[in-house]
Amino acid sequence: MRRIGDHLKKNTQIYVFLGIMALFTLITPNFTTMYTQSVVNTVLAYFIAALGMNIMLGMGGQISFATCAFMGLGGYISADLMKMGLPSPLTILCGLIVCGLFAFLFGLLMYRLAGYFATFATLALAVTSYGIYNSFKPLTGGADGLINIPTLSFGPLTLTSMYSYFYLLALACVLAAVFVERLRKTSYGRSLAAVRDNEIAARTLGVNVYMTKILSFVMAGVLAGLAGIILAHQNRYLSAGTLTLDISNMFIIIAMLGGIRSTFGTLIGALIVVLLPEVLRPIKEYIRMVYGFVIIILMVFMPMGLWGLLEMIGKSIRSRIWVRPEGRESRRGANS
Amino acid sequence: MEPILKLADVRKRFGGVVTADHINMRVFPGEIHGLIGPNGAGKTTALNLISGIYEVDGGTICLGGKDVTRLPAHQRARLGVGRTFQVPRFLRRASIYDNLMIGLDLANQFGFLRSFFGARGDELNALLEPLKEIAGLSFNWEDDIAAMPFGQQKILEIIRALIAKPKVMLIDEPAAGLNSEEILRTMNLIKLVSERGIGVVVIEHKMDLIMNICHNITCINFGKVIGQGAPKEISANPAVIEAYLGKEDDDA
Ligand SMILES: Nc1ncnc2c1ncn2[C@@H]1O[C@H](COP(=O)(O)OP(=O)(O)OP(=O)(O)O)[C@@H](O)[C@H]1O
Ligand SMILES: [Mg+2]
Repeated sequence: MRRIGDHLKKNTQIYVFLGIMALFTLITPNFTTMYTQSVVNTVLAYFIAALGMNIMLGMGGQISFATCAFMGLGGYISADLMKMGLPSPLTILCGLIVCGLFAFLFGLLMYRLAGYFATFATLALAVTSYGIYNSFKPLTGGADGLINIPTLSFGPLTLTSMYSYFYLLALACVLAAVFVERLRKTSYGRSLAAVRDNEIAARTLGVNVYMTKILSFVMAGVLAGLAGIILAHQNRYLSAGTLTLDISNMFIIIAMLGGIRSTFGTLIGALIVVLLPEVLRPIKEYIRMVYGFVIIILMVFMPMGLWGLLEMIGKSIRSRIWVRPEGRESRRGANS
Repeated sequence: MEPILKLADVRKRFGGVVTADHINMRVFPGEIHGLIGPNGAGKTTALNLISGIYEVDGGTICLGGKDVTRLPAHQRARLGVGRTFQVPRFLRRASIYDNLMIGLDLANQFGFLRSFFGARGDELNALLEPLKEIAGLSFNWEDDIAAMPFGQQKILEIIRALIAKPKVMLIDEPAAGLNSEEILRTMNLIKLVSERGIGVVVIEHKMDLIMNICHNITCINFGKVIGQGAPKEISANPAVIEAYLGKEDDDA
């Protein structure tokens, strides 16, 4: 029994997350309109891509503006291959593999650059990829966008509505979230933290800083690709206009809002960032300014994000309610 | 016996400043080797050259007979070079648990996939058990490292290096900023490290401490070795006295 208790306590976040997802899955499709459902789906897809930022930025302290490039890369490849008649599972797999491979090769070059220049390289990638997506007609439809993208189907199962895509997204979210949550506790997760907090210490602790950074870029690329693939097939349409730097910025905000240590917080972040423009429709023109302020405020006042804030409040409440008899040590302390 | 660490003719300069001038040095398993010299003599630079933070301009560095001169820092760490820093370097935004686990990760050296099923806290606890008494540490696993007192951080950094199961441990000024009880604990800890057969290189300004625990001492000044030998020989060496020990008397 105690073991189960310990396990639950250690993995609270992931179970809260799973619970909410389950509830969400049961309730949502029965009570939503098409429109609401599409908003919910967007939240989930953005959550997946933002998890990539959670790995890179939150765990590893590396900024990437290239999320839009990988959403497009995955989306276009899967869409084009399916138009050529390949089955969905294969097109999805191809999209993900190309995203991963390209991120790896780009990372090999990019992380040869010192410090901020690597970040600039991701910026260059975002701008260049937009240019290509917007003009390379045969594969991307150019400025008109790619139309008539086939819907996904797995064997006898064809996804025909927003609702069916919701289930696919929910499944993808759970898989991605469990992966990221697990990653945090692996030696690779700790390598990322070391790269983030102290590169010299990382090197003397056997961390291959270069490869660690590249691998985080690969994971972010694959997650962005996955989000891009599902969205492209769901919307049956993919336009370069949705793959701009703005959307990359948004994923950075989502990850920062959610907090660097939190998978669950990232979901909250995605929820806020997607719903905010709906609420703020009247001041739509100023939305970028709002984002800018939000980033600054987050960096200065809440480096650990919303979840970090909640944790802090929780901790201070708990310490007020339970006074530990032996001072600062707890049951799990090193001296017990 | 073969030396576990061997520096031959190691050279390094920063612009016009020569910080390592043909340094020769040998450290054997289980030996505590003191590295002394005035401020700016090039002691920390020597550790940076050994651990691979800096590249040498010339000369060779061998670890257990293997030439590691051209290897990057993380590979040297994996081959068994552990170290601490003058000002402790931790993962500031991680818990104490993660900060120690990363030492264990280095000992285990799991690949990416394996790491998903790799080391757990139990293993870390087993390793910490024999050290708690000596180190006198008290903390919660989940606490942030930044909340820990400075003295405890310095001790914890040695423990982190030890958990990684190194062959050589480089310790930079372990007693600086510590109170007398912490210094005693640190000395006992360093002795324990050497009893495990690890070759220790320790930089320290506190002479009594160095004379007390070191088997051998190398004294450098302006990047040059000016004296090498047992503590007794060093304290009788005129060059060392002039450059370093004598000066300390003047200060006092
Ligand atoms: N990265 C660097 N770039 C330029 N000069 C450096 C660098 N690292 C060290 N130096 C110079 O090398 C010399 C030796 O420095 P080092 O830190 O090795 O001294 P130290 O013996 O450890 O001194 P202390 O007892 O004060 O710690 C100093 O003059 C320092 O300014
Ligand atoms: Mg120094």
